[in-house]
Amino acid sequence: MEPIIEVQNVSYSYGGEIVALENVSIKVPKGSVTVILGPNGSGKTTLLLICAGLLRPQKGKVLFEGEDIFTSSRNVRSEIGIVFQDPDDQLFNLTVYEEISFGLKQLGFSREAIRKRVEEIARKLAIMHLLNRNPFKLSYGEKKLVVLASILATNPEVLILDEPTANLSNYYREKITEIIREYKKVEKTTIIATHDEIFGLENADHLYLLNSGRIVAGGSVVDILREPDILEEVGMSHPKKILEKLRRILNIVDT
Amino acid sequence: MRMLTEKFLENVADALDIFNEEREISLDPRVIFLTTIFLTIFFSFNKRIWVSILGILLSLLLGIILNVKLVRLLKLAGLLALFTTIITLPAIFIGSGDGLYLNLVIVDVWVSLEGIFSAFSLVLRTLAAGMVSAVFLSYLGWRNIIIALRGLHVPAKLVLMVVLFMKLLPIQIRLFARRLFARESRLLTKSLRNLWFFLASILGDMIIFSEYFALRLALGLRSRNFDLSVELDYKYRMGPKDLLLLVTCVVFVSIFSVI
Repeated sequence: MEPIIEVQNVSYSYGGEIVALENVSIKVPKGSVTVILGPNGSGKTTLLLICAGLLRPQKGKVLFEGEDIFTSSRNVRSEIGIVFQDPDDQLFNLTVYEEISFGLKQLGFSREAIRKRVEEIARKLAIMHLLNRNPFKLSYGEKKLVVLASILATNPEVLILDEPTANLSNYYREKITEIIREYKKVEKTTIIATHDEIFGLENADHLYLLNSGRIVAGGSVVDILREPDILEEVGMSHPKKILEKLRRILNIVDT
Repeated sequence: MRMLTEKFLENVADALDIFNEEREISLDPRVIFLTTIFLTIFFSFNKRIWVSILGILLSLLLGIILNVKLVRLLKLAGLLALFTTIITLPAIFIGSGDGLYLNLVIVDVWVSLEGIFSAFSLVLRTLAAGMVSAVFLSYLGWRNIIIALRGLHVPAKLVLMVVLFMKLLPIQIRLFARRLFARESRLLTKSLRNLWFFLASILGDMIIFSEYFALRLALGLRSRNFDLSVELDYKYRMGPKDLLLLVTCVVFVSIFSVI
């Protein structure tokens, strides 16, 4: 499958001292769900920001459908939507309605089209009752859904999610999984960075393991699961181990 | 104490949100912006108390007509009055002529009527200028302020700084409140001196982290397709209503400069 995003030998360091990424290369096939799995501080967020064109790497290239994302004459930014890990970093309007319509206004949609689209997305994510609320006063999970709605509203070709399930209850987790599946159905691309191995393995078509700014392994979920040592190497648990732990807990309950 | 600080900071943030509202307007944003500057300068440099009072009343009337959130406007007025009063307070001790001696146990101070008048006049001037500009800028909304500034050929970088400032300030004040309470929750001593040192040290923290917050907000704006060049697609049209507003403004300023 043709890659929609291709990261080629990218290196990035903060202030020239803290190396976040070193010679990283990944390919994101069109219409797939690509998951970047790695422990905290492994460089996942930096890689996502670079993929979204928000950070410029010091070395290497990022291609979007074969064109350099930073020099392309196309408005690539409007085709990539990114949801940050912390929703507070992406909320800056007075009402949820304004938050969701923000991107659409930037893209020059008419007032009526914006209203329709906002309501459609809000209904889909079950946040219609929040439209007139102040986003800063919502719960963490609700904030996360509002940011997701504001990104989905512009219908980007590539959806990038940074730690989408972090600190979320099961309800919001299921909601996000549902959106990822729907996105895949319409052959759009999703990139997810997470340290939640179960969520990552459950949703991934392609998987990259990132540790200390380097890609340790890449391939299909089956390929990665066949080599349990690789997961251990990056501080992740193999599902078999998680299952063993669960069995032990269940045994305690039974006895 | 905590409730009071929390409420105060929340209201400051809410008052500053007056510039973050979004509106569809029928007038040319450039004309409204120029009118704002013109009237603000006029009320800032006017020294007559009754004209300042007229400015305050005018801003309230305009607030009602233009459907600006009056609660926010009044909160902003309250803040302006509070800060200007603190700044102008020393003026009451300056000046000659009539006044009275106050015996404050360890020191005698001379409070002059002239000083009180100067301080009062300065507070009213600030209020009039601040409220008039707040009403117009709130009516414009942040998006139309960008359009106005770009239409007046203000450099894009400067406009971006203005937008960041308008958006960042209320967010940062709310964050400031959160950080303050986080510190307060870890206080184990009731000594007022320690309490003061511990809480005051937050200022350094906020200054150091403000760059980081601004960077995060800039990334957040860009991640939502915010690009100043998009705003340039706006079609500026100066109609009869715009001309009428400009002429009214000029006539108003001319009349009250002469009277």
